[in-house]
Amino acid sequence: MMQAAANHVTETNEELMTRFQAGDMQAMEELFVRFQKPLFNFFYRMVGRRETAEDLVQETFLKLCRFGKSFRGSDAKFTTWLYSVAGNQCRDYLRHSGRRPETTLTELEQDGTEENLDLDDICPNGSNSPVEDNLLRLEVQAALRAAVDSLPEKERLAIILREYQGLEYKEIAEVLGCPLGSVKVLIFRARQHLRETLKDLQLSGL
Amino acid sequence: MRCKSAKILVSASLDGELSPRERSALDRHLASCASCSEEMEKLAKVREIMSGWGDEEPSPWLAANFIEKLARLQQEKTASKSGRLTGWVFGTAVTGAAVTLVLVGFFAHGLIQQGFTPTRYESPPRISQRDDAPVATHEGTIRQQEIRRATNEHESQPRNQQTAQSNREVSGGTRHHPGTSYPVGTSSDYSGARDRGLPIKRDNKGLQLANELIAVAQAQEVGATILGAGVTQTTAAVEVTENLSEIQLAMNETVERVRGSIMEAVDTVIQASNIADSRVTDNYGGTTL
Repeated sequence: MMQAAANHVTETNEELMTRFQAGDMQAMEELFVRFQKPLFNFFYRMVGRRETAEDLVQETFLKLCRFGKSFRGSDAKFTTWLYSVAGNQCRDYLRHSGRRPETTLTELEQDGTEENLDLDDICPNGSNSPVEDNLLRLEVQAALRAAVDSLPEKERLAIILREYQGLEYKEIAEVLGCPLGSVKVLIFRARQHLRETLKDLQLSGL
Repeated sequence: MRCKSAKILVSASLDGELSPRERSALDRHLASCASCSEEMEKLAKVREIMSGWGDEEPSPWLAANFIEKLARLQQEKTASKSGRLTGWVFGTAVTGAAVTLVLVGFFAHGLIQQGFTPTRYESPPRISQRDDAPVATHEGTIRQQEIRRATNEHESQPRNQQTAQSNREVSGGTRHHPGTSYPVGTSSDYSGARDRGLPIKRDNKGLQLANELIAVAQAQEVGATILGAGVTQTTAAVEVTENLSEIQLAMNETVERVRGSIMEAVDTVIQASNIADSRVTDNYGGTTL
């Protein structure tokens, strides 16, 4: 029993998919448990709403169940396939909802966050109280969220896959279906746009 | 290397995505370009800010909801497969039964069209018909009498024997009531007829075939009636013909007798005439008039 549990823990994502393809539904449950948090955060950063992000996580995994037979573990990594499905799911949602960023820059300014923020406030060195540090972090986070929301869809997808999902450029190229050079450009442009947006908020150091 | 290309490589270098050749080319450019070096610092700060946006925990019931949906999906798949299988089996059975009935119908119809006479089966007995009822033909009479006799034998069986037989009939899905007329097409059982090998309805599948056979037997009976009537008329005609011949012979005899009488009469007249002539010659001096 313990050995079986240990085997399940050490199983790769691709091995779990093979088990699922053989009809083992518990393998898909295991994959869901493994990826629910990173996938939820991917959608949350992309669409900005918790409920929508959770719905999209479930829909993505239900799609994996429907099209699970088309996955070939020998040809592709599971994460690449997962984020390809998730990326399409996300783009479909954004196009059909015609949605714009949930938190706009105007809202941020109305909240009085346009004061100068120093990078040291974001990475505190102990000069502020924990409460102040937390507030500053939340403010910067809100500003960053708004800046990410304002990015063009493809740039946003590329930078989120790189910064938060930890995908390599080659994998991002597969997910986006574009050449490697285009991924480099997309990520550079995204960072430039973020820098400009955050600079408008007068974050020091940018 | 231009600054535009160098800045793209600066961004990629922060992610460790440069090839050795790109790395050395960028290093050479950065050594001589302050603007691109500054860009690298700013982009590095953006990365640092981005890293401050930590992950959030999804709802604790997210996994439970998904597992529930997964189970429902599996149930629907199973139900769909089962439904398709049941539908296929039922559809095949119904189609098979329908095709069998149609084929049997065509087969029976073809036999009837070709004048097939079922020798094994006979028309069902008309139990309601009285023994003293007039029967049209000789053949029909014999057949019906045989059937009636069989039925009477059944009715005259001891009570307990009849009860046992009735029980058998009930188990076969029918029950016999003496003196009752059985309409064609019902699943009534004819005990006497069964003893004589007559057709007995056991289920609805052979109903159509049995009805066809009963209709043929009835038609045969009617035909025999017509044939019997024809034979009777022919016999009468032959008798009339024989009588006519006798009459003709009698008439011929009469004619001959009349003719003989006439000839005799003629002879008598001639003789009388001769006698008269001789008497006249004698009276007038031997002169013939």
